[in-house]
Amino acid sequence: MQVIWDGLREGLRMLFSGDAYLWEIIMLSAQVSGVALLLSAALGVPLGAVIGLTHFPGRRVVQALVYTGMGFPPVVIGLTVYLLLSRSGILGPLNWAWIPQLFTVPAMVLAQVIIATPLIIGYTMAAVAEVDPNLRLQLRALGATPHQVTWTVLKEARQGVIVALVGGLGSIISEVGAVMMVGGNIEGATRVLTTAIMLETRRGNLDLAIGLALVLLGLTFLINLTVAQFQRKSQ
Amino acid sequence: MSNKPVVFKIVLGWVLLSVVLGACTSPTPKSTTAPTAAPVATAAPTTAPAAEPQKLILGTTTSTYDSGLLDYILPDFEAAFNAKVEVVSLGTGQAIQLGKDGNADVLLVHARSQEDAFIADGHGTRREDVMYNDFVIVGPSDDPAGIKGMKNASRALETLATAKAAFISRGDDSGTHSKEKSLWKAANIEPSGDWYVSAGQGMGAVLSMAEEQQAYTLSDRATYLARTLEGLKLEILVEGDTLLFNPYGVMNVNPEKNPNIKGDLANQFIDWLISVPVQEKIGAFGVDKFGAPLFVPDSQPWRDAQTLASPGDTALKVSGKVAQALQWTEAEVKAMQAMDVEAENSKGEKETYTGVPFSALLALAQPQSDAATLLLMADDGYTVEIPLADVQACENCIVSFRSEGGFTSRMPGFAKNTTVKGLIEIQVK
Repeated sequence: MQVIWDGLREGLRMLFSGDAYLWEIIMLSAQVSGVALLLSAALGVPLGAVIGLTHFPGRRVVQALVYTGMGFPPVVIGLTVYLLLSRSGILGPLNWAWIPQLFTVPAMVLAQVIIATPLIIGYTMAAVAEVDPNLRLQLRALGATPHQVTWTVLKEARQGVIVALVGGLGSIISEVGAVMMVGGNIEGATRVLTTAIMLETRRGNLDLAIGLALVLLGLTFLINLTVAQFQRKSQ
Repeated sequence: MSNKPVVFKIVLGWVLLSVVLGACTSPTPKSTTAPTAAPVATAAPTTAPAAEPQKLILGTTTSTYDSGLLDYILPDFEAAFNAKVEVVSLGTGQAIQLGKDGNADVLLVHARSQEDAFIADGHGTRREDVMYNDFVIVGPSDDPAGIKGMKNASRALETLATAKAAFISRGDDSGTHSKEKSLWKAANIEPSGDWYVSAGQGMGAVLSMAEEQQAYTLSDRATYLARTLEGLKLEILVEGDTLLFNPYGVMNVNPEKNPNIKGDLANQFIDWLISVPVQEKIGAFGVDKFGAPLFVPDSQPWRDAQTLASPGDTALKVSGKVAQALQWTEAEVKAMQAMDVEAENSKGEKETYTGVPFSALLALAQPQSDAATLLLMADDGYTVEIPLADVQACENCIVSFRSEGGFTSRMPGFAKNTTVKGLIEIQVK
């Protein structure tokens, strides 16, 4: 019990005294998850809207694939990205400059985008489907282009879209297996909150681990609180 | 309605923040030259960096990293070579795989057979000894299986298996795991059952598990000692068996595998790591905290420096209950009145040896009247005790000169184990 209290006290002290190591990790986590969220939102929201609003052959299969992707184990995605980027892997040996190298931030972002994009597509799909179909009919009757229709429906479904984004962010920031594999948990380069907690626990630095855990807990709590708030309201 | 804009702002703010931050740092993730990790950044960012530091990826075992050794020595290299060493710490098996796949530039690991195979298969072109530490068998202080103090590590494991005492194995193909497997093999046991837990985790995590479950495990001494400072209560029960010796090697990764592999920098790193000043620093690591080094330097340049330095150093001493504690260099001992004696060699054949009689050395040191025993100590830590009076009465017991340097005790008529090769100290007790 003593360990926990000591750790808690020390963790809070490091957090508020601006401990360089701790804050570096926090900032890197914010960066990586922010960039990953931005990219997966740019991919996921339009795709989700299109799949949710249009009817095309094979739509059910696509939807099933998206739902599968939402439940895909992140660690398997991590392994896949590792094998893709490894210098003895599939893309690595090509040595193209734009292919991220293993143990770098872009590699971690890539894995997280693959994890979060299906989530965002899925949630967006559900959100636009809930918008009253009559709205679309009306818009079309008024002469709106398909592009304008989609945009208006998205705006109408923004609660659901925000849930999608926040949910994606939650999954990105709390992810550990994939970023450990493709990032390598390198100090000052690819060490984020989750991997740092694993390392510091392994090293026996429980106070630091607790400090990091507090931050992560606080962040995920805020994120999930927001989602819960919106889900309650949209019901 | 009212809090929607707020959330929008939060999400938007986060994205903007990360984009701004990302713009500063993320395109090339060599980012953090800023005031980085507190324990490492000894080089203050006072001068403008001359050039972008070269990145060197070091694949290593959890023991070197988790113990803090790398944090202690690497900043010197980074400053001297304008490099940034990115440490990826894994089990030895994974670390070696990292090298085979060409995903690292240099490896620091401890699994000699795997290292030799790595070089033999052409995955690397250079391997050097670096240092060693040793493994210890640790367990709960009440030691339910009763292995405390056993000298033979395999027999200790055998005892654990017979007692079905809970044992936690790394189970991750690390160097420690390889060592554990070789010990079971030496004991002719295929460990399995409820009592044998394969954790698949690093050393620190396994020690924590063993503590929680009051189980036994095999640990490297460095990680174990580091963890005791954090409150680990497990105790060392078996140590000192030569089978528990744990040498570390450094290897480059063959630059032909991939153009991105930094062969030259890896070579410079190896040269640096095995150089005498760095070896000295390795030997000093942990002494202030634990009172003993965690790693013993053992590179070729270090060993050479030791042999060169040794002629002037103490080669033999007499200590303990004596009127006058004495120490001599090798040359000084050889300058004393020597004699030839016939004694049995290790094959049981008679052989003639030249050396200085024990009686003469003891006469110089003058044992105190209550002294009863003589303890002979070898440079590898081996000790044997003999009644003092017997040695004083022995006319042809000598400290013989070895052709390769150093001394061996030759005690005709005494038990075979009194022949101490590499004798460095005679303690009077």
